[in-house]
Amino acid sequence: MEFLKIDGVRKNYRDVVAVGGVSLSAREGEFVVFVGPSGCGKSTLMRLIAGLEEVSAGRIYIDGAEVTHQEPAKRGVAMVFQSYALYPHMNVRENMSFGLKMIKTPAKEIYQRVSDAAAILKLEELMERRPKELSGGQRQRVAIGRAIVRKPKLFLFDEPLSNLDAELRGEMRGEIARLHKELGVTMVYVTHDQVEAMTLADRIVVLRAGLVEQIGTPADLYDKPINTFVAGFIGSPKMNFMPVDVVEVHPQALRLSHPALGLFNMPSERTGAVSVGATLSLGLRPEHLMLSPDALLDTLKIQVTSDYVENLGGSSQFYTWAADGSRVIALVQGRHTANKGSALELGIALSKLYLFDAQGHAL
Amino acid sequence: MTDPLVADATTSAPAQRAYLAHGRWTPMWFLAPAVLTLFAIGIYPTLFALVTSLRKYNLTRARDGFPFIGLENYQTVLTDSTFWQTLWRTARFFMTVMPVEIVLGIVIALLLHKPGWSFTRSLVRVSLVVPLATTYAVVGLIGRLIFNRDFGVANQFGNWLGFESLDWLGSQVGAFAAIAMMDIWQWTPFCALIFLAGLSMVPNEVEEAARLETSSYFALLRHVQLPYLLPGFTAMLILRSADVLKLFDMVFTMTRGGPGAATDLVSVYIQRVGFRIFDMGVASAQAILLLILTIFISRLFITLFYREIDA
Amino acid sequence: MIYKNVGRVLHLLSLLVFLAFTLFPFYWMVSSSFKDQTDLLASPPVWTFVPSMAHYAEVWQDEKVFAAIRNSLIVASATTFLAIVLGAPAAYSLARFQFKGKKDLWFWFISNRMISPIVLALPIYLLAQSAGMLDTHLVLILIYLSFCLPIVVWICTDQFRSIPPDLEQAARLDNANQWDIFWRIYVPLGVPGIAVSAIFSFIFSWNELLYALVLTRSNVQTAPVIATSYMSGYELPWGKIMATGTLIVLPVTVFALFVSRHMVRGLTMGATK
Repeated sequence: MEFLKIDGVRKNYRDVVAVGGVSLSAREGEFVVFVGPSGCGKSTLMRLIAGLEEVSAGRIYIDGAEVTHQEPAKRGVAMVFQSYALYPHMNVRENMSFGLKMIKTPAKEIYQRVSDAAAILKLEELMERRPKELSGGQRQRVAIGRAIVRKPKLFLFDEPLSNLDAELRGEMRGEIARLHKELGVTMVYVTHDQVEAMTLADRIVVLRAGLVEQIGTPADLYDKPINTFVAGFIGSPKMNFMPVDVVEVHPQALRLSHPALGLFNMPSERTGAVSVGATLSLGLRPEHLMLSPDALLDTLKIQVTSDYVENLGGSSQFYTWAADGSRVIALVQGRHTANKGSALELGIALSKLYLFDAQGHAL
Repeated sequence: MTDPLVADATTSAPAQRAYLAHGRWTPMWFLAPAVLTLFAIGIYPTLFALVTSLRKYNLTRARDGFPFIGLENYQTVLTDSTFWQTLWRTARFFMTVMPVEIVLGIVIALLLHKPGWSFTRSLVRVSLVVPLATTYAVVGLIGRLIFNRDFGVANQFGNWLGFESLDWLGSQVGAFAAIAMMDIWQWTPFCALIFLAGLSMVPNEVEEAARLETSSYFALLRHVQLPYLLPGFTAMLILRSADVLKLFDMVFTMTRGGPGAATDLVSVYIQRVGFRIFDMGVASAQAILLLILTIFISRLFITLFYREIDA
Repeated sequence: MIYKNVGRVLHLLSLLVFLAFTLFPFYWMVSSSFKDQTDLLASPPVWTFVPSMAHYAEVWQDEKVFAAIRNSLIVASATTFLAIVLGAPAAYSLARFQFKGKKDLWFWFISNRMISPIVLALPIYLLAQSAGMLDTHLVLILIYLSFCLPIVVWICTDQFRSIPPDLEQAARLDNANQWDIFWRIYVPLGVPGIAVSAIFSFIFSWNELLYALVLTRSNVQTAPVIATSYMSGYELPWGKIMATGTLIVLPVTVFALFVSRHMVRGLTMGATK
């Protein structure tokens, strides 16, 4: 049952297309993350759902009812802003009570709900304080509390963790996940950080330049990206891409060649559209590359020259060059070193390879 | 842009850095020219006024000399009912125009703040400086024409609305109303601009958060925007009260303080005592008293508005 | 949905109403200056008419008006120039230096803006009279300076304080002395504030009436004084008055329109915390 439905929504600002025809839906209780680079339209899309901006075309439905032109306050939507947007001249309790006061909820009920929310978010000691007396993390929790109290149908988060330092971010991520489990409310979360997307989402919507690139579970996006953009966006460090030439085309496999890889066979389902001599993109995730290739699995060997190595404590990140100038980055377990300019041999299991055509679509 | 109401907690630290890398006398070189000039033009005459106020100084009776008479002038002034009436009249003027200017100012500010019709809004915003740049004396002249009984538009508008023609500038109440209206015309834009500045300091996201919690325009105004309008409101009150004490040009050209004493505001009155009746001693005493009042007002302004100048 | 559209229309209408309100007296003055005598004195007043340049011709022939405008120009320009030259360094000093009594000095500067002109008019008159300086440009310039200096100091101090202090540190490391820092860093970066205060100084000096009235006789009458000089007698020369008024007000108002954004900045500076 579609709880949130977005149908052909577009948003234009004069000549600039911020959102160009997006359609998607979410089930009740789902945690959907909109992710993408800056300017991709994810925040705009969220603001359209909230009603803070008018759509240029398309419709939006929440819980079966069309809300496309409805005022924000009437949509049953609560939002947590990037800057928290707490009312500066009200204390925490008043901040959290404001929404309920506006719809004339009886004082007793307001008190009850606010106290419950405060308990969930561990804000009990801060109730009389003003926003400027709170730390970033505390303000964040108050912003969430303000949203919870209204028992909304839809929870929106607009890059809520960007203003927090790294340690706090990890902690708050856990809090938000826990909250989702406890409340079971449908949540839409916007971020540019793919780690947040991968860890929190039931489903991810990848956006670029106002359009949807792919929608899927984190696993789907990781294993089966439909194009090089999604493949490069998900996963950190970014996927390596190496151009390979098609030497032979067989029904179930392709014979490909690359200066650093030599000639090799790669099993593939869709070889029909490929012609000999075409150049394809081979995708290799840094975390799948190994230093000493395992002889048991089908592995592809890559000849590279080492540039430098970053020691991350328990793992090492190798920055290398292949013979044709392609950059190859490998994330390897354990502490390793290599001299600049020394030759290395990396290996990767054939099953872990990704293949994309010249337009960047997955094969 | 940081929200001043929230950012305080985090911005105090850097301001403690000291700047003692200059010589002790350097500030003086930079300040001296300005300070000396002001001293010569400001302090010196003020002292002179103080001295004059302590003497009998009537230019039309110069042959009586200018003997020192101590605080007698002050006594004359403080027991002069005309003086108190003038002050009261000025206060009444203030209380008449201020509420209108503030309310209209807020309304205009809200209209200019609300998104939409951006070309018209810019046009209005730009036109707001017209009343402020218009020579006050000329404003009085225009006022005289507008409120003329026979060929003034004020009566024409009144007639269209069904009212009878009034002799505005000939009647006490009419003249007072006329100068009030011209003052409102001239200063409402200033109020509007100040309030608009206050409104633009409301962080967008706070306004949006409120829009998600209430559809009521008035609730938004009261709970979210009002705190940001309050500093502007207080500034307005103080600045305008100082202005009302200064008000001369427009009233002078429009009514000369009449009819009778209907529009005799403080500055107009003192000017008459000093330059028509030529009783400089008394006028100086009046001026000094006015000065004291003004200093009180500006002290108030600084205490409320001046942020740490020693940052 | 309908409400939204009604709201938008009302928004536009109210904006237009206020536009009319703001510009009306100005419009009335200018249009009246082009009416011929009968139209001008029509009761009730007329809104459509055949324009006539008669009043402007009258004014053109009256050399006093031109002299007055010229005087205003001289006085306003000189005052503005001096106010900036004296005020900007002072503002820099208040913005960046630490010294005793700074707050009191600041207070003194601000109070000057608030003082009623009449307070100083009397002693200045007496002093100028004894010094034989009545009816000279100089006396007006000096007295206007006492009002424009605080304005310049107020606005420029605010402006200078917003310049990042790190620039000064960097310059010091490059062996700049205090004057260099002021002249090469603060002045160029402070141009917006300096411009705004110049605008206000000029407008103030151009519009000022009281002192001009009190301190001038026949030589140095400024524009506002001329405007009021027509106001005696029963049959007021309305046409001439409106034409003169237009000539006096128009240049400054047009100027203000061009720099309105800066003016708005200056007006609202310091009044919102």
